[in-house]
Amino acid sequence: MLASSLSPHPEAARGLLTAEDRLRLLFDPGSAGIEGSGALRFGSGLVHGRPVLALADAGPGDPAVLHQRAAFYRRVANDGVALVEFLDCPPLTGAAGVEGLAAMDACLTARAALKGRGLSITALSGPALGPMALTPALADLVVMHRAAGFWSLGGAELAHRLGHEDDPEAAYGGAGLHGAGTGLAALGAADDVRLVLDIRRLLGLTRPRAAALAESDEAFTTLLPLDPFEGWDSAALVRLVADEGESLALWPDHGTALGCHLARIGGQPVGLIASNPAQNGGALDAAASRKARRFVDFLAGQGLALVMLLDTPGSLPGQAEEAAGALAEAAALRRALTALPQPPVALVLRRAQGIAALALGLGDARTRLLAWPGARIGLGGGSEGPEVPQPLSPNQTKRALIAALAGHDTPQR
Amino acid sequence: MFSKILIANRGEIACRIIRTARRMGIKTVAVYSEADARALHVRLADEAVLIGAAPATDSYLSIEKIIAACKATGAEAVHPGYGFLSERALFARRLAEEGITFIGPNPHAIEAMGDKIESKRAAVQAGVSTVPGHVGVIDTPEEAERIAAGIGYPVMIKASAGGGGKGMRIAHSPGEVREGFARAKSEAAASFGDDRVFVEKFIENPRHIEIQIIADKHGNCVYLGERECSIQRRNQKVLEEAPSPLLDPETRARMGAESVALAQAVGYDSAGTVEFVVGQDRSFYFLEMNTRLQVEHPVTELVTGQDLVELMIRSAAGEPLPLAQTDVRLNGWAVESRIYAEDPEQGFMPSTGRLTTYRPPAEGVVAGVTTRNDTGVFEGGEIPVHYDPMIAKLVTHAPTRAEAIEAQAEALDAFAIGGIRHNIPFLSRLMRHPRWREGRLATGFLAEEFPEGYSPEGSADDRRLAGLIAAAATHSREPDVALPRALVLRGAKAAQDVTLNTGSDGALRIEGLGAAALVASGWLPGQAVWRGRIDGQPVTAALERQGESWTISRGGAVTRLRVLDALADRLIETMPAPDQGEEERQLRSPAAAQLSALLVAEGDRVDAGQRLAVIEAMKMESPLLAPLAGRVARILAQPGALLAAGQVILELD
Repeated sequence: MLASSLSPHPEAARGLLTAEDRLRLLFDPGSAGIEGSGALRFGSGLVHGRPVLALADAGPGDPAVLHQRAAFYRRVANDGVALVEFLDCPPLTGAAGVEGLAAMDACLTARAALKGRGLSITALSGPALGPMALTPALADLVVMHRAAGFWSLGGAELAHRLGHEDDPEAAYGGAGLHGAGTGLAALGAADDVRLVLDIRRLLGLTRPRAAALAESDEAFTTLLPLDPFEGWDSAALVRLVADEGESLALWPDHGTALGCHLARIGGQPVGLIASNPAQNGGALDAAASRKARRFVDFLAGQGLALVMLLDTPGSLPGQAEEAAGALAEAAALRRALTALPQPPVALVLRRAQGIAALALGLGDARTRLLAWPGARIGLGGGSEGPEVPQPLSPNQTKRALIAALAGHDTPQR
Repeated sequence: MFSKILIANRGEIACRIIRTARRMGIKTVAVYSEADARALHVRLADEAVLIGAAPATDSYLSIEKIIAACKATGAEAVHPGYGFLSERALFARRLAEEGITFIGPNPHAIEAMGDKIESKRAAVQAGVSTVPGHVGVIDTPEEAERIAAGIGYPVMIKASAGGGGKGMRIAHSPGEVREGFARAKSEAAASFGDDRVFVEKFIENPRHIEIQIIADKHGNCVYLGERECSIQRRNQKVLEEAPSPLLDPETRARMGAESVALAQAVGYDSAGTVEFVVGQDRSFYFLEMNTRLQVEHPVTELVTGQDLVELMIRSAAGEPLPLAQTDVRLNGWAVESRIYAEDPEQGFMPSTGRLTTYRPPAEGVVAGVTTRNDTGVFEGGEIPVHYDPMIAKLVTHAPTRAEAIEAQAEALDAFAIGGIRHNIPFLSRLMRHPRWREGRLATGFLAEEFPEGYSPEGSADDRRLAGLIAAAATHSREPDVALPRALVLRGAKAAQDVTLNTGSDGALRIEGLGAAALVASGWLPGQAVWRGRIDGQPVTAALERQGESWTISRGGAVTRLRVLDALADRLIETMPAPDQGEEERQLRSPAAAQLSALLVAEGDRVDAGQRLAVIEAMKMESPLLAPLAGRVARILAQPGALLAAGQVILELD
């Protein structure tokens, strides 16, 4: 059955799959229906039981292909299912003139109409250059092949020709730029198979699933350093909170003052935002606020709950932060939280202060607030203000988070 | 009786003493070093006192700091546990000078038994069987040769102050005596600062059997049966059991009576252990006496029903022994495994760090089988680099030896530990070893049966069961993926295609691993132990998952498998090898360790292979070399920092 798709092809040497293989690999075994020819392949099937429509580039596009693509986007919107698209398209051919512009615009319009109507993921295993590069920007999440993915206005050649710049190609749109720099790529994958498996994992984490609850939460009691001002690595905390210790970090190299993870807690899929006290003591900066806002938007669009694990002395001060628009980013994050389908759950570990506390919605009476012993929450910076009353014993953390997600009263509200 | 005691120890033994004291209504004081601030014994005690920095010399071995802790808390007595100060007569004396009771033997008895030559003299005087040899210091190789000829070969040349196998040499001829004499003497001088050696008969194929005694301050002393501790690795006990499969009642009674005689000869007044080297013909010879509670005391407790810690406390408080020799009954069989943070696949290298998973089997009594787990750790806790890396002592007790061993094997399979390496697979392999099961033991057992060390590779049946478990667990994790489902299980040497389908009675039918199997389990993702039935037979295994890779540990075999859908497996094999560039630019600690030195600064240019840092774990220093040439871009850890395994120390451009 798979003989033709498994035969060696030039892409394999570069860690790339054919369009058909990408689609087959995406869907649960036996559930895929694949059709199309020429420049596009269309797929429908299940991913961890969730209905998904997908398309994959198979060759150079032209205005007719753009119209086909637009029609597929409209079908996705109509069906209200998740979309996964594998963008691997050389620059458009025969796309000059008004016809090309109109086709591209129809494509973008149909793509934009998907916003808020299900999950859309764009995978970049090849170039998305020029006009087509606008399409991924409309996706809920972008996943990039670290070596072959390229997402750019025009690339190095154009920049050299028109801007007299002389930097390597990757500086204009490689996975490194969009992973750490712009933060537009949520995930990077070493090869095409890993890329597809990451998308499967991501989709799987949006589904509820039963998991065992640890008999003891004693491990929470040793997470914080004894020195209250010492930085610490919140990755261990995320592992303890997440069912099975499994989470998927989105935008892991961007805005690293906060971690944004998909995970399950008590079987329920959630988004997790975790302070990173190993970086600037957990102070919130502009990039982290922007990342968190994108994540909250994503969660709101997917109807997923948000859990925040916070240890932040406030906002990071400094000229660079002012210039990066830290205030506007913080305010945008606060606004985004209001769109969540259910009030967020926030657990404050040591401190949550100042603008950071406000931006993360701790002042909102609807936020289900929990705090560990000794935690301080307030408008002051650093560790000011009284300790919160009725703290949560760390060895009750996971159970308390599950209860808070279920809407039960939390000690601090 | 005391109202408050201090425990001058840490780890499992401190926790175990606290439990008995609490049951007796005695308040407890823990002492701890900075490395143990969050240790379990500190949590369990009623009070805790910080006594110094992590090195034992600055804390647990500091007599004056412990005395100060007693005074600060009003502790009336000190239980020393084992190790540290437990056999230091000076400690017992200093406590007495301060009016604090030592829960252990009197200083005179400790001194009398502390020296191998002196204790052997005392044993001879008390009528205890001793290994034929020369009781006295030997000054010249000629004298050693003459004595050896009189004893008969083979002989053992031993350091008087020896222990742990150091300063010991076996000689089968006069030439070997001369060479062994010189080597034992120099090794003894280097190791103990005392070059005195003596010569005795070497017992071939010997067993290590020891008698537990308990005595009071009124001249009463009884023995509580024996323990066999012949399974040793480099003179460190690995498995212990009570009673010994070798002894008959007559030999036991003779060994017990001689042990009591020795104890009474030196005015012994607490718990102690008289160790014997025993021939396969049940001939036995005094080896030494340990004047403390032994690590392996739980097996004695389970077969006698006595709480040795309680008896020690009562004896120290001046109470007469509550039992006579005729009250001592041996009931059933007990087996103990010492679970250590060490990697059996890497020559038992110590492993330290955070216990990300610690799920011991359930303790208690079920259908006449007792499971007991003495531990000083908990999930999330640390195994510090500074001390003995013991994690737990797993003990099972049942009416018969075979049942106790079977219970131990099952308990080991149901014991899940993660975050550090541990020796459970090795213990589990031992527990199924036919020679161990038959009780044909000797101190050379491990060297003879595992000459190449431990290998995690199991039998074909082990691999089949592991494959079935990994496939079933994959399905449990992804229940939304419809059946039938084709998977590929890829191990280090081979790949197997399997098909999952719905079987009868809700079981999973798995084809491709030998005969089709029906697998039923209530396992939920996140559980560290898989329990289920495979073709109707109960199976238990510890399992860990990282991504799509599973590690299944059962019966001493550790099977590592990558499980992917068939298409993903085939396609992933066509992908180029991942670029390790980023990781190669990072210098990571290979194990949990202390960063003892950083040899470069940010901005320094370094060559590939250049020493960049030195780490220390378990007193062993290891240099870390630059993985490639470059410039030190960022330093992420400072000297003195405790590093987790895999933690990045610095990054190169």
